[in-house]
Amino acid sequence: MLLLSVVTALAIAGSPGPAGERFVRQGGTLAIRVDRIAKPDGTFGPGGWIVVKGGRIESVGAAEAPSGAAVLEFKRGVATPGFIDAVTSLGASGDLAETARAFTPEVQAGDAFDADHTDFRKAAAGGITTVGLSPSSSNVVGGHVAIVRTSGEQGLAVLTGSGPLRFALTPSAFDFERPPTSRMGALPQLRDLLAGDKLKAPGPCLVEASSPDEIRVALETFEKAGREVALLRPNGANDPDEGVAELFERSKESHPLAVVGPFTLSTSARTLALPQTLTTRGVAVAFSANGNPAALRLTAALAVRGGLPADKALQALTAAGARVLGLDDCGALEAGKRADLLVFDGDPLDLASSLDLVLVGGAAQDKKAATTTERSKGTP
Amino acid sequence: MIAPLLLTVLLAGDAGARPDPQRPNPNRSDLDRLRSEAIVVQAAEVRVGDGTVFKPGVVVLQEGRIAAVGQAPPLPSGSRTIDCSKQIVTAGLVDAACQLGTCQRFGYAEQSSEVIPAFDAADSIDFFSKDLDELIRDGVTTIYVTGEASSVISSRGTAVKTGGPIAQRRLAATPCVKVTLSGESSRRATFNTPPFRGGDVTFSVRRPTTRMGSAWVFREAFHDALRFKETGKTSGDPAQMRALLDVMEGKVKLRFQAREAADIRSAQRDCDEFGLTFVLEYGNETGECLDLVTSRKIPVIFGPPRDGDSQASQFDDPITAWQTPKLLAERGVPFCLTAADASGEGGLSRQAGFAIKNGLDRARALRAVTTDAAAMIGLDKRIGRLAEGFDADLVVWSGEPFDDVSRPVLVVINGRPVLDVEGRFAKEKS
Repeated sequence: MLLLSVVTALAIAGSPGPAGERFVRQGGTLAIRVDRIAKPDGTFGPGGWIVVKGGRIESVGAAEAPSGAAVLEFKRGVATPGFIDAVTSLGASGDLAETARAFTPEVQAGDAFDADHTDFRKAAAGGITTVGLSPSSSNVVGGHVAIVRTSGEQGLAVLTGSGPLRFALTPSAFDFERPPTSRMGALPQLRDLLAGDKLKAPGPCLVEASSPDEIRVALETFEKAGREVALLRPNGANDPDEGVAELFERSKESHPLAVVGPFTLSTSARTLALPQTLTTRGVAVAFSANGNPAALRLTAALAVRGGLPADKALQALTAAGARVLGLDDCGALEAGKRADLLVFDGDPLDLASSLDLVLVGGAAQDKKAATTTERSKGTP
Repeated sequence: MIAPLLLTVLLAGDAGARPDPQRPNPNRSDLDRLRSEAIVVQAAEVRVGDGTVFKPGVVVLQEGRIAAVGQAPPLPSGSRTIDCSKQIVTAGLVDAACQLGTCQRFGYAEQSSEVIPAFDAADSIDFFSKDLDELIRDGVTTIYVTGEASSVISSRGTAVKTGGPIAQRRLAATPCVKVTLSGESSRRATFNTPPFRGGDVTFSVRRPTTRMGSAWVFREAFHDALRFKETGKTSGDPAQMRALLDVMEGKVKLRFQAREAADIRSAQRDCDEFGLTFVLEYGNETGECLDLVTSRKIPVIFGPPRDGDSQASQFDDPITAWQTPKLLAERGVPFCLTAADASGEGGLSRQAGFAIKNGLDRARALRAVTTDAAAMIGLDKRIGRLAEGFDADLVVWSGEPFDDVSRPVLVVINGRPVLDVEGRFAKEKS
């Protein structure tokens, strides 16, 4: 429940509407009072005031709101960082699978970005504040992920940078019509590229690898080249073969990451166990909603059903996603980070809890957008 | 799927037998302890692989290797005994020209080029392939995965163990590049000819479709490599050219996959042009050119005979595929047996069985799937024999090895059980 009290000359009526937004944009200070605040480790600490200024978090957990600030008070409010969809096709104008060649390290997913796509408004309203727009798995080296903030000036999504490189070692990366047609033909070329300085990108190498052996090749190839790895949908990590445990045991030192999801209500129990399996094997997990703005929180909730501890699930929605995208300006409620902030009226992983406030870069989002059925402009 | 179950059984059995809470060693996992603990396999018969037989016999395994073999070798203290007193023990079988265990089920070849000797089949191995479980059930503990037949000059092959920890599976075998001159292979999508019935192999529509054309590609490639050596320039991939020069300098060996006699003769002609020697792979019609194989001392990795190599004809024609192993043995040609992709008549132990039925001596047949196969891939100092210092790879057979009714009941790789049908590793005598 949102309670609004006026402690300064400026009043914000109802939810922070245009007036409040203008206030924030003009450099005003916003103070938000909640009962529990998510810590960077995914657990919750005591409540207090979160102070936001100039699109950034100024302080977290103060007992008093600073004077001159506009305030928002939430009874039973639970504050978390904005959620991060680490790998998505959200709002892409046109296809993200450029199949002309198998190695396209120069491709930028940002060139498929459509700032005006309705999906971004839906995502923002649903609590997703940052996404990694990614080339598809059709190429061995697919290109650069684009870092997109789901809302910015005039409510349009904003491209804020180029993220990690996307790779694929799954059969989808090979085509009988296009050289190389085999993993055997691709790996020497991939090793050469990794050894050179052409493949420069922030964050880990994002590698699609599904079967146990694809996971092995991904870990071996990228670790040998001294690269950090984020495995994309490594479903084979669930395989009970003791060799799988051996692979992750060997890779423990290099702290691999993984991106899993989206999960739906029809996802098998075996697959739902994947995030927890990966966690016990020393892998930090992030989530992908892959184009469905509503799927991210559900994915996290279902991962908890599959055995993942709640703190890890919240981390997967926030800090781990930021790590996968090579970002240090979001994913945690800490002074200096972007003011990407959500307030729920209960446990964020309980789908019955309602999301009462979404700030993207300090700007409040219109919740109605989450349910709008307006047709997207960019893609059919 | 077998391995984790076995391990559980093994660990449980071991923990129950030697509980030692007084001296816990936190630095050593159960697995480490298992690997270092001596295991004594007592058998009715130990067939070493070089013709020696101990009856009864004992094999002592320690630290993943064979510590001792004999009728009654000295036993280390604190060893566990595996009772196989009614069974025969041999070394783990070795297939020197296997086509299984790769990541792409219908062939792993690089279709985009006919000349790919710089590529390595090691990049195609799927260590989690179900093929490997099948091989273990057949008693095969080491395979040399050979190049695919869909390129004229294919990739280098690679040797791996079929089970055990992945970190210990790769073996440094003699590198061999494989050449195939004719359109023949037992697997889909590996034909060296245009695809029929609209298969997946789209690159192959511009392949050489004849032996003449394939031989031309082979010769052109080596002439290109020689030009590259002289001028440092090539219109092709320099890495492939360097790999061809490695073949010419003898650093990498050459294999020819040839089943028909005409292919075998053609292989010899083409090698003579560049002063190359080769190992013959499969060689179903070796019997038709025994003189060539004998006089040029061409080693043969023989098998498997196919349906076309009519078994019935063995009764009226002495020179048939089925009798080739016996003939090669008589002529003193170095040879071993392979099951290739183990399709049709089955695995490597079946191939040894066929050779025995067609006149090959039993001891020699064992050699042809262990010691001699290991020698063919340059690993005869490490595998293929039950001798001190060799890898602890062994097979305990339910009956006479290679008989139709016999099968492996216990398979050990690097001292660890990877197949244990009757749970012998779990049961223990003090």
